[in-house]
Amino acid sequence: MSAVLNAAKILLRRRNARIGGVLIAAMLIAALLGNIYTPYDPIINDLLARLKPPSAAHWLGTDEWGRDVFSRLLNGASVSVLISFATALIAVVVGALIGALTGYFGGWLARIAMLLVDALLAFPSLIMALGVIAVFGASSEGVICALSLTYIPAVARVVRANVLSLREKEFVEASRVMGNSELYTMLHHALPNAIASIIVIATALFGWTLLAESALSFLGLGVPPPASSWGGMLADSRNYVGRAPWLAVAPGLAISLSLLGVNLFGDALRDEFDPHMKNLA
Amino acid sequence: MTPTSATSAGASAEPAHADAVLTIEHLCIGLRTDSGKFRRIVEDANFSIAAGEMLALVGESGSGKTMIARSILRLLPQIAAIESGRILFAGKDLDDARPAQMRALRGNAIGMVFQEPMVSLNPALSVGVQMTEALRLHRGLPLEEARRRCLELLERVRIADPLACLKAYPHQFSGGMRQRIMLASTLAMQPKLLIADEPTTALDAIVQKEVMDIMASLTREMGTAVLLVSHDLGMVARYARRIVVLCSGETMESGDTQQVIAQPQHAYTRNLLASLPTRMPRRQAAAATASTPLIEIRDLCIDFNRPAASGRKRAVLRAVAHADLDLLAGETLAVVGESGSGKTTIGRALVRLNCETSGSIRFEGREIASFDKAEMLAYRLKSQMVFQDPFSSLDPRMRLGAIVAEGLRLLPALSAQERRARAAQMLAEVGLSGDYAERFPHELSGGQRQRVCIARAIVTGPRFLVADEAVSALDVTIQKQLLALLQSLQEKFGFACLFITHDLGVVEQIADRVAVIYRGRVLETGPRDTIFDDPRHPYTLRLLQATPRIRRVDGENRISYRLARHEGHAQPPPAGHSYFNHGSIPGQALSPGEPLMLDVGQQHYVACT
Amino acid sequence: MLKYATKRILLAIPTLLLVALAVFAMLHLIPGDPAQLMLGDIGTPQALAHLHAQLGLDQPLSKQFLLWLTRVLHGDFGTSIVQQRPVLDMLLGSFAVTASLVVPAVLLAALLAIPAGMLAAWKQNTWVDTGVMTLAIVFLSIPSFWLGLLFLMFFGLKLDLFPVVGYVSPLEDFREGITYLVMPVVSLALIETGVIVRMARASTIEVLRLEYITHARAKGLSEPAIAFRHALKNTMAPTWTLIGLSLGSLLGGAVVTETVFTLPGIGRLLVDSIFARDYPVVQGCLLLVTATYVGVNLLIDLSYPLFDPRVRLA
Repeated sequence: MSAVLNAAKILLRRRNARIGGVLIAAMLIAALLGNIYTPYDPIINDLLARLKPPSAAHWLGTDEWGRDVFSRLLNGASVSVLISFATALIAVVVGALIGALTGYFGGWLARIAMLLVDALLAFPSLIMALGVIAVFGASSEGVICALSLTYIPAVARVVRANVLSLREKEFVEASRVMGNSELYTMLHHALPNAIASIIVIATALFGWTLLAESALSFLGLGVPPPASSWGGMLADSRNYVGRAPWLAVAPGLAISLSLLGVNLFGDALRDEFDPHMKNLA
Repeated sequence: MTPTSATSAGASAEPAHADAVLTIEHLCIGLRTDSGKFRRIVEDANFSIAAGEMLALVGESGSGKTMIARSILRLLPQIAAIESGRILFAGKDLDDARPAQMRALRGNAIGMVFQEPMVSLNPALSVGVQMTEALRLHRGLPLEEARRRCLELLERVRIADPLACLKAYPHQFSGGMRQRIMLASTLAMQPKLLIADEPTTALDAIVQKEVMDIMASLTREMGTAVLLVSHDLGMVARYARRIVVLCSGETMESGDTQQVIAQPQHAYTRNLLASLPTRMPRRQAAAATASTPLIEIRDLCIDFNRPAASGRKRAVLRAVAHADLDLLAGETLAVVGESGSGKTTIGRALVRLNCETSGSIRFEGREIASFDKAEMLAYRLKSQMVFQDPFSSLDPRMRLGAIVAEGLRLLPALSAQERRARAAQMLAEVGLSGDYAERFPHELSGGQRQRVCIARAIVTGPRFLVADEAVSALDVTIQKQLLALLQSLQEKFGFACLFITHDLGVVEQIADRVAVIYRGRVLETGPRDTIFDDPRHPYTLRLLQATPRIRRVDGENRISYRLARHEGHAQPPPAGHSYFNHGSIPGQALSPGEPLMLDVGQQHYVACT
Repeated sequence: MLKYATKRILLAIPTLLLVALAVFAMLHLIPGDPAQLMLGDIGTPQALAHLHAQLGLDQPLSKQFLLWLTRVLHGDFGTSIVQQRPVLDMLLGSFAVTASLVVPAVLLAALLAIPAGMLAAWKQNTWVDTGVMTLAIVFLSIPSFWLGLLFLMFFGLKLDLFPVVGYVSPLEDFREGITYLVMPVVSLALIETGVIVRMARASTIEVLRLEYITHARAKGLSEPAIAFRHALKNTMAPTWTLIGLSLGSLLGGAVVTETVFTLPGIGRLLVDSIFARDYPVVQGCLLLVTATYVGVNLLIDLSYPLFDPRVRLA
């Protein structure tokens, strides 16, 4: 635990980490709030209050069904964060496992696994997600499924490369010379030293999924209405760009600032703990 | 100058020659720290070089020698800066030079040769483009003329096919060839001053000698002043007329090379000279009495699948070919060879990091390839290894105590507490007592880390240790301490040591027996004194001749050239035979067939056909 | 070099086969009868039987795959269920639209980003570097569809500089067509710029640390000469790969931009077909975009020897 605190202290010396941290915290608070309390109901229509510009009653105005944009923004935050978090978690755990096992042990099974990984990587990421959603249908589970499947290969590739280079490190060889089993060596020496780069890629991944989720929702293939999502709100705003520009500004700003936070924080993490990953811009 | 004034201790300025090409006066260089202040890394450096003279800056890592060399051309890293002092080139103060004037000097009147031949030539440009660049820039020569000049120089650095060389790319050459190309490209400009920053450190001994010989003779001919930067006192003593000894940025001593080495005035120089490996009297090895060797290697072959260069068929590389070696209990056997000779592969096979392709390795009379799981584990505990790189051989996330204790994990019947106690005891044994067990590797220096590696290796009480270039990455003074430590531990715990190295000086100091290996073949084995005093194989002779040494004779240090009594000629081979691969120059094809190890007396074997 | 090229091309074949298999399997992963799925509730038994025969659903899967693959290789992607047109025609038309959006966008991004990235690297840790990198990370964090919407609101509606709805092919009417492409291309390009700048800077810094750059300085070359003669070629290799990846992935990723600007591109076709359950079109889109992506990456790999003689001479 003290190691984590210590790492955080070192990290927060960077300005990027501080700005990113504040933005991420704001996003998480919004998500939490969206789950427990919103000023108005984010789902129920109020046709008397359609397309109201921002005011004291409705801080960010109302949409074409009279719903409070701020409330929907908070609600959308919880949906987006939850989906992105679940996706990033699944992709990192599965991808890291595949990458570590194939990287460390090699063999024909690993070669087949990597062939499959490469085939999955041959799909452009959004196209892959669209294909999976075409099969599973548009729903939260569908999006999580589609996006985690999309990003697993990328994680596997990075972790594998990392473990492959760690395998050649002399302290890993020293462990084998000592008589430790391969599994012990991988779990106690190779993997722990790959953790830094796994955390770095997990952060980047959270950003990617946040963006991809909003893109899918924007296309109408994400979380189905009436549940709110930032991408969906942007899509709805398109029909009113002339009359109600605030509809387009608020959710777009929310996505951009969240992404900016994740990107800044991720950069700081990478620069501090994994300087070799710089090329993975 | 009289000999007595030539050696001047401390930092007093040398009188500037009237004909000095380069004069450095009171030079101070600082490093910008995080707080914005400067930390001195070079303090009051003073020296001058005359035309046609070679002066060497000698020092261990952190002595500031490279910084001084780079400051002349204003090529210091961004965080370093000249704080005060003057650099005069051909009588002109370089401090007054504007950037454009400085560029006009670079590569033109002042040439520079870098340390790492593998990264100092641009991989994307052909040798011809890179060589002609400076000629065309500074002299405005037309391409054809520039090429002609380059061809001439390539011939003079003895590149076999200069025309093909110009068209080729850097990656197609070995390190030694690249360094010669670099030399040719720099000297093509006939600079007044050549700065050579550790020009041969990355090269094997024989290649090092070739490159240095070429450099010395060409610059003498051209009348070029040379500033040689090196950590290698022995090598420097052979080529430089005058030396400046540096330590932590301060000038310890400077003067005529012979004088400084024969009668060092400063304690640091004396210590440095005393740290150079020397021959110690041979220990009474316990081995002599043992009936069977601890390890018997017979007819060992190890092949590697060379990673298929794109598009090419997989080539098989035979790293070790039909090697026979014995390691006796308690002795130190040095395996000597240049990089790529297969010496490391043999060591790794003993600790099962490689497997043999054919042949046998026997431990205490039993074939190790036939061991079952339990026997293999027992063998692992008896065989240990110390790696070369002290910075990557310790898990950065573990405390030293845990690192050393880890090896004991596999010993049954030891409680966690006992393991910790043993680890602490072993750390004390290697000179790291106190709270070292609680520290992390990054808090230690290179020498200290290597001590931890030794502790980790011997904590399980092994029968033998493979030390793969275990002291090569360290400065000589540290190297000396580690060799002494290793020897005392060996006497105390009685393990044998397979000492793999390219450094003949170290071998001479600690080996009981020596095996010389060349491109996977063992060419000569025998007791240390026999190999050093009466080498048979021409390759061994060349290797010995390429390694300078400094000896103490009658209370004076002397630079001695090895094997003067053989005058460079090997003894004739035993009647009816010729030496296997008798030329043995780098790059030369191997003799056909397999060698025969002939006994030439006193357990001295040499490869013949 | 020839061997390198052959090997790379041969390596792409199993990838493409696996991709085809995945696209084919898609239809069969959906629970239920594919034909019934496509027709929905309105399907008559005759229509169902007809579709069954058309898709070859009564044959074993392996045979279905082979049949399907053979037809695809002959350019027969089937017939759209909704529009009753050959899928290939639909694909080619919308592919051209997407290409006219993506190719200029990536070129523009590369032209902006590579010099900016190199400049930032050269002036590392100065205000120039900070400025370029701040701009890059901001662009990187803006979703392209939002930037597109903002462009639409500002340049389209407020300033009335460009048309906001519709599309005219530049092939039919060049000047008119261009006006429809300016906003989508620029919004897409700015975001790609963020990605490429970071890569160009990182790889330039990597190269600048190497000794051959110091060697070039020690020869007396000026900084611009070092940048163009010694650094550019070596920094281009990783950046070039990234540009290829962007180009390929944007072919599909541009779908959001196409949606914002109502361009009839291939991404839009895919999404519309997913909504309409027009599976032959969905499969065709997936296959075409992915094959193009693989092809672009292959071309990038094949161009690698231009930057690296170690590959060229192997």
